[in-house]
Parts: sequence; C-alpha cells; structure tokens
Amino acid sequence: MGVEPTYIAAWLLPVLIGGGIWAALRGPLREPGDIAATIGAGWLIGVFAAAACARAVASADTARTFALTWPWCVGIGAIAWGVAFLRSRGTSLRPLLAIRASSGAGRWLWWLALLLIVTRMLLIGDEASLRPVFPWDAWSAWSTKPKAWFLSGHAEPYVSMIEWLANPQLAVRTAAAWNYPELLAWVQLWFASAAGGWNEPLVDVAWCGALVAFALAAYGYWRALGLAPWLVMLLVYGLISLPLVDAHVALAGYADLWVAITLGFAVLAWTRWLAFRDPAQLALAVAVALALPAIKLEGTVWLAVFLAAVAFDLVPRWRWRFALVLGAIAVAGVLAVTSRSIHVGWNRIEIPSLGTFELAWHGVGGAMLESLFTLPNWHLLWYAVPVLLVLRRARLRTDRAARLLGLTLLIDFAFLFVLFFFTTASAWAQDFTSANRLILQLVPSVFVLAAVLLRPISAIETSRADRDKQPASPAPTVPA
Amino acid sequence: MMRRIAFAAAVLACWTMLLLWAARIDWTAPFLPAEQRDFQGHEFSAVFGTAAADADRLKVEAAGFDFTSLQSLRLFGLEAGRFPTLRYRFAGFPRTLELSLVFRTAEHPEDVAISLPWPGDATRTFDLSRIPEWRGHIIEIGFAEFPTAQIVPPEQGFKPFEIVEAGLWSRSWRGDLEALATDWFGAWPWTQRSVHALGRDTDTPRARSLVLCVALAAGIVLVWMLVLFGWRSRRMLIGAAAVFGLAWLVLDLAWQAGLWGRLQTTRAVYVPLSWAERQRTVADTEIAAAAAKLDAMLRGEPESSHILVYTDAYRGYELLRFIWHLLPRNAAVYAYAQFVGDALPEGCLIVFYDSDAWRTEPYWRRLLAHSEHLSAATSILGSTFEDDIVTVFRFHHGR
Repeated sequence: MGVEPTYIAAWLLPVLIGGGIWAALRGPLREPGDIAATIGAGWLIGVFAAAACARAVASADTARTFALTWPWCVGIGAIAWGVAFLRSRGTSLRPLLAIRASSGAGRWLWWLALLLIVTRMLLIGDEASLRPVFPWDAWSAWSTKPKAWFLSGHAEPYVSMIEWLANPQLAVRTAAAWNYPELLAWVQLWFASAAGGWNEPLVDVAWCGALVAFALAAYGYWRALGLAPWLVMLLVYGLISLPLVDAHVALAGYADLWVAITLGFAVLAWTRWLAFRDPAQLALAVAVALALPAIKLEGTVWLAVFLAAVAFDLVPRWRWRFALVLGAIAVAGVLAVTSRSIHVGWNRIEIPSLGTFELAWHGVGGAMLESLFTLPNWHLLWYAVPVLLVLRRARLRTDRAARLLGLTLLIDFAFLFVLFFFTTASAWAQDFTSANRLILQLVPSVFVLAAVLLRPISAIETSRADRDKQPASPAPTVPA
Repeated sequence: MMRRIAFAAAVLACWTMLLLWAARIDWTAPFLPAEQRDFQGHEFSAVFGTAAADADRLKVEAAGFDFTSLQSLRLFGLEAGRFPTLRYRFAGFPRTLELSLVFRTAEHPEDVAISLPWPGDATRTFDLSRIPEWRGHIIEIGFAEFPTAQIVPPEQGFKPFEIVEAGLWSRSWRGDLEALATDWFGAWPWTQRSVHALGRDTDTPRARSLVLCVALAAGIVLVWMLVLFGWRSRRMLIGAAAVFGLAWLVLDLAWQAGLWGRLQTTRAVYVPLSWAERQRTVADTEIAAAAAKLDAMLRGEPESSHILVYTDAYRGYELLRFIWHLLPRNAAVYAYAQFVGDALPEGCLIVFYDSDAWRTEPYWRRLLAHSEHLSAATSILGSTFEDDIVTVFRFHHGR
C-alpha cells in the first residue's frame, strides 16, 4: 500500500526549507546535536513556512496546494542552504560525525531510552495513520476548514453566523469555530494535497511528525547545553512517554500539541540565546513564538508572556524606568484600542470570541490535584518537578537562563491558576476537559527548564566564558 | 549486611501495606471467598443475538439487529451486598467489541449497565462494591457486547466468541487484589475523553490510582534509604534517581500495554484497508450514509448554497457529525441561527436530520408555512415518505 511520491516530498521539503534556515542562522555545525537540531527544528520551521507559503499562493486552488507551493519552498530552501554553505565554508564535518566516548552505564541508558522512544513512536504513529480523524474538536473545529477548502477547491472565508445569514449569495462559510486561527488548516492542506486527496490518516500522521521533530530538536539543543547524551535521551524519553502527549498523537487532530511544541521550540531557541548569546537563536525564538496565535487563540497569551520575558532579559537594568513607562503606554494603548470589545468589570471580564469570565473563587483544587498527581496523564512528572526545583534551587539564583525560564513558566502557570480557580473556566478543570490540555501546552517548556537545571556547572561556566569573550559566537564544544 | 536485610524487609512490608490499601482490602475478610456462586457459560441464554451451548460454554454466534448481543441469567434474588466481586472469563473475545455487565435488582427492575475492561482470554475480576446500583437483590445478571463506540464501524464489530464462566464472590483478599490487577492492567478503549484526561475516559468507577501508588512506593524506598543508610549525598542521589527512573518505567510499561491493546482494536478494523478505504471507514456509518443521501438529493444545487441543519436537541454529536460528513456543502447548525427567528435568508435550505419536528412542532409548521418541501425522488412515492432520514425545505418568507 503505497503513497504518492508527492506525499513523501511533502515530508522532506520542510526539512529542506527549515533545515536550511536553521543551518543558515546557526553557521558552522559543530556539535553532534546540531544534526538532530537541523532536522528536527528544520522540519518544524519548514512545515510552518510551507503552510504560510501555501496560504499566500494557493487560496484560490486549494486542491493543488502542494503543486503551487513546492517551487517556492524549493527556492527558499535553496537560498537558505546557500547561505548556510557560505557561512560554514572551510569547516570540517568530522566533529559532527564523531561518536563520543561515554561510560558503559550511560551508553546502555542511551540505547534503552532510544529503544523505548522508537517503540512508542511506532505505536502511536501506527494508530494515527490508521483511522480517520476521531476526537470531537478535531473534526468539529480543527479539520473543518481544511476539509471544506480542499474538497471545494477554494479557501472561502469563515464568518460569524450573523454575517453568513446576511450574505446568502456570497461564498462564505460558518462554523462554531469560525474564528479559530488557520495555520494548522494550511498544514493539513499541505499534506492532503500532496497525498492526492482528502485522506485523514495521511494528514494526521503530521502530529506524529511534529512530536518526532520536537524530540530531535530538543536532543540537539540540550546536547549543545552540555548535558550528557544519556541524560538528554532520558529527558526526551520522559517527554515522549507522557500518556497525554501520546494520546494527542495517536488521536491526532487537536491543536494543543502544536501549541506545546511551538512554544517549547521557541523556549529551546531562547535558552540557547540565554546561554550563549547567539542573536540568531533569539530571532528564531521570537519568530517561532509569533506563530503561536496563528495556531490557537490561547497562543496569544503564551506569546505575550514569552515576549515580556524576552524584553525583560534584553532591557538593561538602568533602563528599567524607561521600559516601564513604555510598557505602561503600550498597555494603555492596547486597552484603548480594545476597550470597545473587551469589557472589564470588577468581577467579570468579557472577551469576544473567548467568552465572559466571572471572577470568583472556584474550589477546583481536588480536580486539579487529581489531574496532575493521580490520573494516568503525566506519569511522575508533577512529583518530579517540585523535587528538581528544590534540589536545584541554587541554580535559579545563579544561572540567568534557569531564572528567566523559571520566571516565564511561573507566570504561565499563574495564568492557568487564575483561569481555573478564579473564572468560570473552572468548569474545564472540574469536568476534566480543557485543564489537562492547557497544561499540556506548557509541558515541553517544563522539560526545557529541567534540562537547564540539570546542566553541569562546567557547561554553565564554559558558556559564561564564551559569552564574555565573544558575545555572538556559536556554541562552544562541551565534553560529553 | 544487616542493614540491607532490614532495608529489604522494611520496603517489602511497606509495599505490602500499600498494595492492600490500594486494593481496599477489608481486614475482616478471609483470604479466599467464604461464599461463591459459579456459573458456567452454558447457563446463560441469549437475549439479543444468537448463541448455543457448547459443552460447558456458551458460544455466541451472531449479534442482534442493532449489532448488540446480550446473554443473561436469572438469579432469583441473590443478595448484592454479600457478593461484591465479579469474575468473568471469555474465549476468543474480539478486540472490536466492548463488554458490559448488565444486571437488574428486585428493588429496581430497570437494567443497569457497567463497562468492563476488555476480557481477553484470562479470568478477570471486577469490584462491584463501588457501583452504587449494586444494592438489594439481584434477579438477573448478564453480559452485553457491542462494537467499540465511535471507534469500530458497527457492522465490523462482531466476531463469534465464547462465555466460559462467570462468578460472584463474597469479599476476600484474593478477589480484591485480582480486581485491582484487572483495573490497573486491563485494556480500556479510546473514547472522546481520552484527549482530555486519561483515567477519566470511562464512567466505570476505577480502583485507586496506579500513579499515586507507584509514587508512594518510590517514596517509601527513599525514606527507608534515608533512615537506614543516612544522607550520603552522592550515593543517595544516585539511588533516588534510580528508584525514580524505575518507577517511571513501571508506569510507562503499564501505559504501553494499554496503548498496545487500543492499537489492536484499531488494527483489527483498518490494517487490511487501503488508504482510500481507511478514509471512508467510519464508525458512524448511518450518519455518513444520510449525509451522502442528502448530497445526492442536492446534486443540482450550487455547492455554496446555505444549508441549515436541524435535529432534536439531545443529539448534538450526531448533528455535528452529519455536517462534517456533508462537507464541502455549506452547512451550519440551525440552533446557532435560531435567534433570528423567521428572518432567515430567502431561498436557504433547511434540512431536518432524523427528525419529524417539521410536521409535529407548531413552531416549525408556522416557520415553514410558505416554504417548499423538497424530497428524494426515490422516497416521495414510498410509504416511508414521512420517515425519511433527511427532509429538506427551501425556505420562503410569507408572500
């Protein structure tokens, strides 16, 4: 049972585009982890770039999305790889291909974790590739637009019910999720058109691809941070093994996994900036984070927190008063612009398209504790995180990367705390629906924080020395 | 050496206590059940579907008209409280079926159905004491089997299987421990709730959490390490990491076994199919067929025509699936447009999916008073005209 060659190409082209962009930004590839990062980060960057290109060139002929988009992808990829080649001229690939010595136990752990990862990916990938889209919101929200667009041949705009009723002669559509962002719709169109038909099993395997890509990217980035190969592989296994992550691949179709890995990848790149002051990684982190609102509405919140943390890092202390004034002006400006649509009362907030949130205490602590600590969604993750934070509390003071990352996640979780405990969204926690999915969106970032906290002191000192010596230099070689 | 022996003994003792707590052991109960009622498979009789006795077993050969099969046994007032442990064993039970226990009591004669873990070929045990309805006097007990909901196309779910035996035990340590094992390692199917919260994706009351118990077991090891060997930073840290890693691995292997079971259900349906057939093979075949029928009825209609779909209020899932299968038709849920009353666009199509509200409800009769009733050419002359799965009107305002 084969697939169209174009479908294979649809999987490889993102690596060409994104891998080229990543390699061009990275400069000479020096670390063993760089190959994994090039492929993993490259696929994620590339698939979003391909979707954006598709949106630009294929709206009027969606059934031919792939045919109309691939030449642009090849062009961008060729340029990117050209720049990457120019930047790495004269660099030997030998260090990349060298197999580093590792202790016997470490080597066994590395292989064991890899075996477990591959087994898991085969299981959940097989499940995703077998059946048509299954979970409720997947077909009622996230696949509605791409299916309608692909089968009709046109990307007709989705509008509210009032507009739809008012314009019976116009080629517009409506759905409950009419205002949901559309980046994932174009990712699905990319794969569907390459497969030669609207085929959900072939489209949904992209969820598995996204997780594999993040795993590769994380491996590469964490190796560059100086973590031992076996520890990095165990961390990747820890993420891949989480039951709710697996469920979102096996029952592909929800956007939460994409938000999670996009935010996680932005945090990975930002961490590299924090550790090595590589400005290309900072630009990459911000660019990837900007895709968050295009995936899911709550991505806007994660983006805002992330950008605030990035700004907090970039603004020197002596300019803080200036930055605060600017921030206040920006907030006032945003409020002025949105005051007609967002209504804030002393005990309620009304946000169009998100809903009205009554502000009052809701006792959902039991349900949240059950979600995190007793239901089989997260293995022992939420037992381990507090222990790790306590054991490595000194790092939160001494390591700027750990401190900033910890602060960012603290704000993210504080947002979820307010959402679940003080608004009517508490129902999502009480009925065990959205609460876990919102937590899922932060989980890859939690693993990034864990990797930063587990970094050996020698690696932190090496990166500090390297940063002080040459602010824009690439990652130093770190002993395995 | 003595400290190591003491460590092993202390950990084993604590783990045993933990296991007994997890299994909700009744300390006053004996290890083996004091009373038990055993039923051979052939004692059950088919209520839906066909079945025949085969030696001691009951061979279930075909499902009923709605793809469900049910086998039951009259019990003449067995006291539920005395028998809280269910034992059941099947042979050749297909991956594509779900199993439920069905029972009735003298006090509440209506059926109660409880989902059970997939039985496989081994003997499974289930703790009924946590089922609120398992009270009073049981007058009938049975097993119902049906294609896994929303996962397996109904017509592909059934394959012949056998009921080997079943039993009801009085409370015992053995029964409680085996019920715990069935709960922790039993195979449960995917449901719509699996992407929200695993472990909450079935309504069946579950045993104490495996995650919590494994975490406590790991914590016990660490505490005894501290007590007996003291705080030796590096060794303690390595030991703690190893314990944590093993605990994680145990949980993950249990999860992987569950994933494997779920995958076997999916594979049983989809592996033989081509990519195109996989896309067409859905569990809600009736809804897909109704959507295809409507699409055929509207073949002369522009694809962009606005369609509002109505069905009875309690059937939201079917309504949304119908609209999904109808794509790329430009359809929307009528309930979201209801607020405009009769100010609907002139000429839009109103479709009633599996509902006769258009002729039974005064609201609709008034709204559609001037509308044109469109029907399938194949059915308008038939006796089922008013029972069509889809009924279509072209909306017109009053003239």
